Amino acid sequence: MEDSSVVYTKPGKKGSYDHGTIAFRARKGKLIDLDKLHESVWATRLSGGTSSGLVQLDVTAIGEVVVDGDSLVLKVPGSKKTFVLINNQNANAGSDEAAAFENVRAAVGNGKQVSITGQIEGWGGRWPQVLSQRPASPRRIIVTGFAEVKEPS
Amino acid sequence: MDTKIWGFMIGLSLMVSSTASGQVVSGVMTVTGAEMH
Repeated sequence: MEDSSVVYTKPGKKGSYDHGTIAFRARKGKLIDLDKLHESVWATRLSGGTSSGLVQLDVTAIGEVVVDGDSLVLKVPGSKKTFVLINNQNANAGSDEAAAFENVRAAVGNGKQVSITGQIEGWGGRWPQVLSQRPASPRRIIVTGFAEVKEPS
Repeated sequence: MDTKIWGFMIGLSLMVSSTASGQVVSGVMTVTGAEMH
């Protein structure tokens, strides 16, 4: 497997339009800055008038889960930015997503590094409207996956 | 796929290899675009 990568996959078409995913992974020891990612999308100046757009952005971040007020927050080492972790309101009881969020709750304050996967809330829409959306601060992740990070032996 | 997306992908390629600080280790962006030429 490559150390870092950007891979475009085109799983299918919706009508006459391409529909695909761009998967990216940072080089080991590096992290991707979502502010710069947003700026990169902004810089494309993609235009409207078509059905093209951004469907969603899913990310994986590693950090420690803490409570901040009424929120569950992921603190990422080396970054001043945090993520608010939220439950998928549409997740069925007993589903993997529901279990993932329960694991997030259980990880609060245990001091361990965990891997959180989820969808960035509010990152989607047709060009160019999606480009004018300013990211929430802090960003909110709709949790879909959870994993403990194993300590290097 | 709109050709501008390819420019974005090139920028993203540089980003994943050179960013010293950030927040996420990986991601998947789902897009729809105009037909590729």
